[in-house]
Amino acid sequence: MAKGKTDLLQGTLDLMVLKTLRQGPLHGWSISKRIRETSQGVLEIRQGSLYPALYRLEDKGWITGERGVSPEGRKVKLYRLTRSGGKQLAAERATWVAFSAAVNHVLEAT
Amino acid sequence: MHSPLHLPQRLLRRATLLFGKQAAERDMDGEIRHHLEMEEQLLRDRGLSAHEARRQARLKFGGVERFKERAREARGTRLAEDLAKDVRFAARSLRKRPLLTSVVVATLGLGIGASVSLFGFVDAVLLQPLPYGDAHEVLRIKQAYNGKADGNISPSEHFDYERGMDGFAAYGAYTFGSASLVGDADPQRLQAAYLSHGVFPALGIRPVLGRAFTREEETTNAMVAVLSHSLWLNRYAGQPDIVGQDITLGEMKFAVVGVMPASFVIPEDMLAGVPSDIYLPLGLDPADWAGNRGSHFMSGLVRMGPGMSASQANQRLATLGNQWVEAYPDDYPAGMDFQISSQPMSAYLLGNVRRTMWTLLGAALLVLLLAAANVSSLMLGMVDDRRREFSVRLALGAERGRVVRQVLTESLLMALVAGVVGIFVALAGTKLLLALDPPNIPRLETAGLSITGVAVAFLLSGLAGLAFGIAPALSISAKRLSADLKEGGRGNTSGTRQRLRRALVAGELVVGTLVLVGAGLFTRSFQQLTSVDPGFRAEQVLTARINVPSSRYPNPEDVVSFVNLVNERTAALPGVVASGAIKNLPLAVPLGDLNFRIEGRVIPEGESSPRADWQTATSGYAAAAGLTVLQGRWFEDADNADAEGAVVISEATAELYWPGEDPLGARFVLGGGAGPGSVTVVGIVRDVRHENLENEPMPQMYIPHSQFRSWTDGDAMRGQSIFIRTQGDPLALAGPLRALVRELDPMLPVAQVETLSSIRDRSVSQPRTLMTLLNIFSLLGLVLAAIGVYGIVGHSVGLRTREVAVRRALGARKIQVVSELLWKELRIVGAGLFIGLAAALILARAVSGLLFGVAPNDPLVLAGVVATLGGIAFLGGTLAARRAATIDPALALRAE
Repeated sequence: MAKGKTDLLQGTLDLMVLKTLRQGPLHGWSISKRIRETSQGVLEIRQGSLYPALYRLEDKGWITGERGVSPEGRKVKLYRLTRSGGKQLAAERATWVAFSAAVNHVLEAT
Repeated sequence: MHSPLHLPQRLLRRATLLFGKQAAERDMDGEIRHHLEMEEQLLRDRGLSAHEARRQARLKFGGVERFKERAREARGTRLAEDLAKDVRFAARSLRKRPLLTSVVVATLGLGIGASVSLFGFVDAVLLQPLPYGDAHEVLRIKQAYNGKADGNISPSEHFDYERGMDGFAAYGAYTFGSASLVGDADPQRLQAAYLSHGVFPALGIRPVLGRAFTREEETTNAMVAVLSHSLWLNRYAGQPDIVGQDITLGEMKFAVVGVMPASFVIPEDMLAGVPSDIYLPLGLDPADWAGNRGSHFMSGLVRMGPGMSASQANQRLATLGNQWVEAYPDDYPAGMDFQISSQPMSAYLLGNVRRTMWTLLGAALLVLLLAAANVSSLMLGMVDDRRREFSVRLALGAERGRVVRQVLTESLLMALVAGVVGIFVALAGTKLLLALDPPNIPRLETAGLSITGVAVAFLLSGLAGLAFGIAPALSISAKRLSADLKEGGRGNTSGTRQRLRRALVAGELVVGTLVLVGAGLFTRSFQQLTSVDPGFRAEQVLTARINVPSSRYPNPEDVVSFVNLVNERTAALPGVVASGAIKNLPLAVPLGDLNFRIEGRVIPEGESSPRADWQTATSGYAAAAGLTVLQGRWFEDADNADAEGAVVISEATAELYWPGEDPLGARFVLGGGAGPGSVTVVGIVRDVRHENLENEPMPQMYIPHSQFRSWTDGDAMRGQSIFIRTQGDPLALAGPLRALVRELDPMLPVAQVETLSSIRDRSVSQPRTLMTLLNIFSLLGLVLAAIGVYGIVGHSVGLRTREVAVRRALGARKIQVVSELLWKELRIVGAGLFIGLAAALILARAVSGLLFGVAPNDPLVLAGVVATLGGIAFLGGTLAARRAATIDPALALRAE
């Protein structure tokens, strides 16, 4: 895997996970599926890289994992956004918006 | 990015994860398996075949193990997990090498244990604060006169101090005596301290119960007493209502006004190791004592005022001394060289033992260093033996850092176990040293293994583990990897390791030399000290102390006849050769001095009168103590109060005041109006080392007990030490002596019954302790150095087995091979010994103040140490080399 790609993905992946969990607790595969669907297949990532990201976010206290039951009725780990995770999402989102606006601005300037 | 969870919370979560590590792994496995199944299901729903769906799901997920590994790292517990793995691996690896492990743990444990127990003693004796309030403000007054650096204080001087101590917070003076406590139980002889009212405030200690006596009570000599904590507990069962009650001392009633705390002890008592039982008012009446500047019997102390420095205090005291010299030229003639100064209480109490304690701790640390060096050399050998294992691990992609960490973990783990062993060794060592019971070291009995001691043990073991692990660990180099693999674990060691090992052996010999020279010097010093002629023969003498009370024996004649009666009856006991008595026990209770005027001589202007330490003695004393009469005669029964005054002087007195003359028949008058006034020299005896065995004897004189009368009250000396010379075991006479005194006076306690040899032994207990411990350390050092040398020679020879075998097969003689192998290593030994001797000469000078009768560069000791260490190294080397050379060449070559 090219190095540049992971680096770009790391921050945005965190942001997307946080955003996805804002709508409610989900287990790992559902998060992965939801991201694929909402990005309309544009952001195709290695599904495995989701897990290091989840554990990192958990270690930072932005999400918490608890044992729960999936909609399919199986025992799985359900991730939930914590309050500090919510704040983090807001902060990162603001940064992202400012960043992408700046990039757009540069790209659209003639 | 800020981390929202506080660090402690995060660590807590990580710790839970660590402990529930297996559960966490299970969770992760389950989660990923669930993911793959769900994805597979999704793909199947889209119409893929079961096989294809599984393949696609795996492909989209990526490398499962790689993501798992990255997920584990993301959990934040990676470092600790690695450490746990290292420790488990190290424990397994150590179990595989039980001999190496136990040698390391035992050697290091001994070193750590010795250091920790010595640290405990240093802590208890030197580092703990003195049991006084703001002890650094307390100074001891030192009056220097007539060549005495630390003389006592006389009554008039005491009154002057009380009046003229501006700027000081408090001043107090005290002296010691004894009292018989009578009551419902047997009469009990108490050691009493007579204190001026300023002593308690000067020391900064208040009674725990009741109060101290007041200035009025002290000056009017009121019948009040303050009890020591132990007397209160032992005699009065710690009853709080003791305050206000009366107790009877002799035949006088004293009101108990207070009880001191358990930690309280008068400074002199701390040195003697025997605390006073009761504190009574000093009660000097100026009407009786004014003008008496000659009888020095009190110790004095001051507490510095706010903002006062020790040098300012000294200055004020010196000024006061100069004022006295000007005001009373008769009392302080120029030749007396009178001066007042002061000394911090801690220096007075601990100055003597400080060097002894640090020397011992230093020696213990050197032994620890030796142990660590040995262990390091063992570990180097271990790295050599395992270099194939390390090479394989490096070849398989382990980072060098991980392998180094592995070796370090092993040495730290061993050191940690050694630390635990060391704690047990320290416990035993503390008991051993307390069993040696050196009495002249204050507060030693309070030593024990404290939390600090345990912390020191682990600190030392950690340091040692790092120290002996770091060099071997770093000697593992990836560069030699291919060579090591090719050699297949045979052949030469790395040059670095061999050089390191040589340096270690040289270092061990340096340290070994230091420890051995120390032990040698102090052993010689102790031999010199104990072979000093004390002037009396201590063997087969029993001593005991009585105090003839004024209540039942009011007149001096009563005292004399009672003491004579005791001596007569004792001499008649079966097994008794002679019986006598003196005022002050030699090597235990110091003597005071008394001036005299020699008839027919005029003292030149500005010179002080002759003086000598004085002792009273009975006619039987010379025979009982084994004094040597050099000229003239000892006292006889006829030298009684009615006869002409007699005096026996010591050799030193004769040489000082009658140089080249015959003092026999000379007459002189005792100073201060002491009875019998005019005395005639009837004999000269050999000097007695009364204060201690180290110092040259002072000039002394003996006056018959029957004739001597105090210059203060005309009384006879009431405190007497009985000396009984026996045919058999002196202690067998203890019972008969007590029975005899009880028969003569049932109210009179017999105290301090012990042999004269035990008193003599006790007086040298501090140098004996020093010597004994240093010898134990040097024995340890010797064994360690021997193991070290044997190890390195054996190892380097072992590495050359093949070379040796080839040469032997080609016909080289064994002796030739052995000596060549040996020569190379013995050069290192020589270098180590040389540096060690140079270092020892420097260090020995630092402790020369503790040595007696032996120079710090004593050739006998130095030669002995070189011979011993060199011999041991030679023996170890020869044994190792011979073993290598004896291997059958055919066998050694085939083993290749």
